[in-house]
Amino acid sequence: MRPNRDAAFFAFGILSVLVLTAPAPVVHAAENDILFTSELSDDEQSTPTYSKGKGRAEIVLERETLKITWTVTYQDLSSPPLTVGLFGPENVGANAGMLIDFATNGLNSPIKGSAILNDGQLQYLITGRVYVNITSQKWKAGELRGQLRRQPRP
Amino acid sequence: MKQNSKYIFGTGTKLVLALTAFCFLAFFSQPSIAASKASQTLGFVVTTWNFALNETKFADECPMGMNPGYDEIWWRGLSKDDRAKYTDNGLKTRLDRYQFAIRRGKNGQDVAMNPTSADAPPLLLAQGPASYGMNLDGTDDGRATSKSCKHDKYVGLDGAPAVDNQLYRLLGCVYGYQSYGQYQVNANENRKSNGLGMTLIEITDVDDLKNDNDVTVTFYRSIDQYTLNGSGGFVAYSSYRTDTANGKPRYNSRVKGKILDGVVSTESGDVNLPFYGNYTYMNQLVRDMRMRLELSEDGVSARGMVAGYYGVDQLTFYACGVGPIASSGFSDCPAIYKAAYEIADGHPDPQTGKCTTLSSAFNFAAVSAFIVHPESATVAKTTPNPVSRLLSALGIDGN
Repeated sequence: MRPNRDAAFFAFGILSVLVLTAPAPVVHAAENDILFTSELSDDEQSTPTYSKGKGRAEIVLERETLKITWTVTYQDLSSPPLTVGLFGPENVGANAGMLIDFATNGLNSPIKGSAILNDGQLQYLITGRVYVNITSQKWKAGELRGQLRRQPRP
Repeated sequence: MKQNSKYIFGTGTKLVLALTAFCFLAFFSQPSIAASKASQTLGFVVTTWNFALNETKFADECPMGMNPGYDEIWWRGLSKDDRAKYTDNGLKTRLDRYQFAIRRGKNGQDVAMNPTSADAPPLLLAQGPASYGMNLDGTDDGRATSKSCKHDKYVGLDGAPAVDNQLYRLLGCVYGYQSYGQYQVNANENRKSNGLGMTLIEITDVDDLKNDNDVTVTFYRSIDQYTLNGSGGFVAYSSYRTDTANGKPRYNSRVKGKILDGVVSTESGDVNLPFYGNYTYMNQLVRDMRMRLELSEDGVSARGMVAGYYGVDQLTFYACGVGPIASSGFSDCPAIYKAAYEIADGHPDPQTGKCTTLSSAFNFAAVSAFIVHPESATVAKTTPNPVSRLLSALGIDGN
């Protein structure tokens, strides 16, 4: 019996080592997702804007459903925010209308939410022609802005 | 003997004979009738012509997104005050401010005309294993040869191994060259509306529409505009005259080919093709060109691909010469020019060893057409046609 117990302990030990050292399980859907990010600042506003505020937007696109999930953080705005949203189709140096309102659940940072894109919005996103814009009471056309850029997979 | 003929045939008989002869000759004397076995000639007019880019739904070939264009590069280099001044706080359109954006050369040069006058941002090249195209260099690994420079190979979208298409690598992440981009859409619309740079394809010596080991494929330029229906669609079996100068066709590059299961494929040869798009005229020389053309079952239309080597200077002439259209095509000439020479893979310069052409592929569509050669019309004018000769012999030529 003793040899069997030793063998069992040995096998358990090997199994434990394998489990502990194995890579973390990968979520299949996440692996297939596409990440877009943008650093938000006053620099990309078309109208000269002066703000100490900073922010960041991260958008994850699910291929199967065309669902985007966003997280927008910001700080140090010059005045209370009015709107936060996805704007396009437009590049830097010009303005476009809001495609998706990111702040339907409130304007407090971090702002989180999700929506389903239509085919046109999808094309704007993957060709880099959308931006995130935060308007405020002082800067009603926009205080912080950033063009969304696709991020390569690590 | 001449008088006897008048006695042998009465007037009614003459007319019947004349009409029969006319129908017989009219039927068998048609020149270049498309898709007609009797004529042994197929004719096509090219309706759309596009850079063959492998575009996936999520643009995975561009993992870092699309390249910036003149306007973005210029705008990012300005101070806030200058941005406001030159763009009227973003209200002035990119088209209207193109004249400023284009002059970002170190001494204010137009960077489209002088692509080396400004620092070129690195071009984002198309990634991924698959592409349209053909194996042009004959290697299976893209190694350097006496006729080519080292480059990476693709797997063809049809599964073909060792495909070369450096032009796709170059332009695959430039917005304007996508199928929905300004350059592609506008070029096809230009040709459709003004009839410039239209390519005619004539396939002669056809004995069997499905399988024929020896046919000849000739490329011409049309001087007639497209025949369109009320919906703007291309009308098949329209007549198009070839462009000539001093009695000779301006374009008549010719390659041998074969038909296998209804698909025409050609041997390799240097081919000149007419081109017009985005207000730019161009003679496209495609070196070592091969064509694959798939005919529709009913013979009315065809889809094809041309693969061959495209000169970097020729590409630059077009890509950098599109002018203000670049304001909505989002491209940058200095970046394309620099990258093109870096990844060129064909025809090394004997002096420098640097390659001067890019392996490339183009997709096109075509509809059947009657190709009319003006020299035939000239012959008809100077020589009595067979019907006239017959009527004359019958004594009813009206003289």
